[in-house]
Amino acid sequence: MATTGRKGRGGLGLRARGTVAFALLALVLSASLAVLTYSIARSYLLDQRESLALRQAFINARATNEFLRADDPDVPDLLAALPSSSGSFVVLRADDEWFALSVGTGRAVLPESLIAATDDGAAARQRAVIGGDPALAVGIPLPAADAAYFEVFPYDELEKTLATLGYSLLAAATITTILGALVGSYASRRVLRPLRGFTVGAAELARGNFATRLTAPGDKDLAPIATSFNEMAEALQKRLEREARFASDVTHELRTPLTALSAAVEVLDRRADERSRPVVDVLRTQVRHFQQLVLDLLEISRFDAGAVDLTAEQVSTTEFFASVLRGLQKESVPLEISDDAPATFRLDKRRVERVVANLVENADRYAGGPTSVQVSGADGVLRIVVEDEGPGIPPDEVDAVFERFHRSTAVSSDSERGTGLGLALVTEHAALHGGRAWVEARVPTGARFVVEIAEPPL
Amino acid sequence: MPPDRPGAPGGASWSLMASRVLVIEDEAPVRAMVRLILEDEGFEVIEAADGEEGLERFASESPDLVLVDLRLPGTHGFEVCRALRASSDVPIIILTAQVDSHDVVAGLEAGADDYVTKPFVAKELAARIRAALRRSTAVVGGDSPAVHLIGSIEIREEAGVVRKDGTVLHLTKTEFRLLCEFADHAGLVLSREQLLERVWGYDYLGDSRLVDAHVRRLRTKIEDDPANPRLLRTVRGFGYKMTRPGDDGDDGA
Repeated sequence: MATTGRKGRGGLGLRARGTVAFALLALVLSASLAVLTYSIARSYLLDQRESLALRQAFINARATNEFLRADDPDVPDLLAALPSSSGSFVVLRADDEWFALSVGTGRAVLPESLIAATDDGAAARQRAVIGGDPALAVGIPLPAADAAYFEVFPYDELEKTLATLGYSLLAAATITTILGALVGSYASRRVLRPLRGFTVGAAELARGNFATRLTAPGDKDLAPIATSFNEMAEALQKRLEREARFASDVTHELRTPLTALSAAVEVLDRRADERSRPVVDVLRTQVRHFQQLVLDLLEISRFDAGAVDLTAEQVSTTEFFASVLRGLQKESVPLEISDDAPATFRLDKRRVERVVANLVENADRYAGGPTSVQVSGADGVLRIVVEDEGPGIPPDEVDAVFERFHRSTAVSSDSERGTGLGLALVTEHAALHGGRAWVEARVPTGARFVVEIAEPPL
Repeated sequence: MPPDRPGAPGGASWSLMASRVLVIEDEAPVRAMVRLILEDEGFEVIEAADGEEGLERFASESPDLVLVDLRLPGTHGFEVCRALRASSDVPIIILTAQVDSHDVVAGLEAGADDYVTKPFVAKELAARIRAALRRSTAVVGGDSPAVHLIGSIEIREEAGVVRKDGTVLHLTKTEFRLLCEFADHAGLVLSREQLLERVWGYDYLGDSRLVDAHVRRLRTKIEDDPANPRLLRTVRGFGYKMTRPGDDGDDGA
C-alpha cells in the first residue's frame, strides 16, 4: 500500500503543527500579558514611590526649615533626627555649607541641574543614577533660612520588587507556553484520533479483512469520511463475495458433469472389449485432460478472485516429500534432502504437493522425466529443486514458461498435452507461501526448476 | 486423493453379505455412475435424490454406510449428516465439489467421517468406503489392554463401549477408533499424519482437517470443558496427546 503518510509535504505533521501553533499562541498571549502587567505595575509603583518620596521630602523640608530658623542649629543632629524611609538620605545646604549624614552622600552625588533648579528658587525632582543606583532626587529651596533641602530616594528596593515581578511573569509566560504546547498536542491528537481510526481501518482492509467498518466519529465534519469509507468497504466486500460465490458456483456446476463423465469413462474402461478399446482410450485420455484443465482453471480463478487460503501445517520434510513422490509414482526419482534442510516445516500440504506434481509432470512432458528432486533451505525458507537432463529452457523463455498457456517451442514427448497452467500455478502456490519460482540451466545439460517457499508464522 | 493403504481387505473378506451403501445425490447422472462403480466393486446400492428421501430410505433400509452430496436441494447435506447422527453412528462419507472450501470442515463438524471430492476416481471412492466400513466392523485391540481408565472416562475396546462417570457415551465408530488410538498411546504425542494413517488409512498426504474436526467432536463428548480440554491436549506444531489427569500437570496446555 502506498504510504501517504502522516507527515505533510512541509515535513511537520499535523500534530506537530498543532502543537507548535498552540505553543506560539500561548507564548504571544502570555508574553504580551506579562509585558503589559509589568509596565503597568512598574509605572504604578514608581508613581506611588515618587508621591511618597515627595510627601516625605516636603514634610522633612518643612521641619528643617523650622529647625534652621532657630538659633544656632546643630545641623548634624537635625539630619540624624529626620525620619528616613527605605534607604533615603538627606543632603542639606545651609548658608553655602553642605551637610550630609555620611561620607559619599554629599553634594557631589546630587545632579548639578537639580541644584541649579533649586537655587533658582523652585522645588524640583529628578531621576538620576546616584552612587551607581537609580534614584529619585528631590530638591526643595528653603529661602527663609537661605538653605536648600535635598533628599535622595534610591529605587533599589523598588527595583528588587520589579525584578521579582518580572521573573514571576517570565516564569508564568514560560509555563503558559509549555501548557499551550501540551494542550495543542492533546487537542491535535483528539482531532486526529478519528483519522487514526481510518488508518487502522484502511490497513485492515488492505490486509484482506473486508468486514472492517468504521464507527462514525461524533464529529459531523468527519462522519462523511467514515460513511464513504464504509460504503467503499461494503462494495468491495460484496464484490469479493460475489466473485467467490461465482467461483464456487462455477466449480460446482462444472464438477458435476465432470464427475459423471469421468466416472462413466472409468466404468466404460473396465467393460471395454477389443473393438471399442481404442475409442475408450481416446475418451479416457481426453476426459482426463479436460478434467485437469477445468481443475487448473478453477484453481487459478480462485487465485484471481483472491479466494485462497493457506492451510499451513507442520510436516516432516523427509516424510512429506517421500509421500509426494510415492503419490506421483516417482519413488525411483532420487530424493535428495540436504543436511541444511529443516527437519520439519510448516506448509500447505495440498499446494506444495501440487507444486511438486506440476514440476514433475513438466519434466515428464518435455525432458524425459525428472532426474532428481532436491530439498534444502535455512531460516524459515524451504527450497525445492526439480532437475531434469532434457534439452533445457532457452534463455529467452526462462520467464515465459511460467506464464499461463505459454506454448513452448520445445517438443513434447508426451502424447498427452499439458493444461498450460501447471507452471503458472506453481508460481501462484509459491507466491501464496511468500515465495517464488524460477528456472535455471543445469550443468552440463537440462533444467533446474527452483521453488522457494517461506514458512508462514504460527 | 491417494489410494488406500496396501493390505486393505478385499470387498467381501470381512462380510459374507454385500455391504449396502445409501447414495444421496441430486444429480441423476452422477448417482447412476456411482451405482455402477460401487456395484462393480461389490456393494449393494440404495439411491436417494434428495435429503428427505435419503432420511426416509435410511430409516426403511438401514444401510451400512451413507454417501451424501453436500449440495442438495431442500435439506442440505449438513442437515442430513446431523439428522443421521441424531439417531445413528452409521459411517457417513460426504461428497464435495470444493476441497478447500469450508464445506468440508462444516460437513465433518456435522458428523461426517470422511469426505471424497468430485470428480472422484472410482478406486479411491471404493477405498474410502471400505476404510470406513472396516472402522465400523473391525474389533480394536490386539496386544493393548482392552479396558482403559482415563480420568472419568472408561473405554472398553472389545465391547466398543465408552463411559463417562458411568454414563454410556454415544460415539461414532471413527470417534471410537480415534479415542482408542489415543488411549492406547496415552501420554504420547500422536501426529495428525499418524492418526490419519492409523484411523482413516490415509498416507502422509491425507487431509489433517479430518483429525482436527474429529478431535473437536470427541472433546465435546469426553471433556468436562471442551474449550479447555484436560484429557485430549493439543501439542502445538506436533499433534495431539491424551493425558491422564494428574500425570503431567500443566504441560502441553
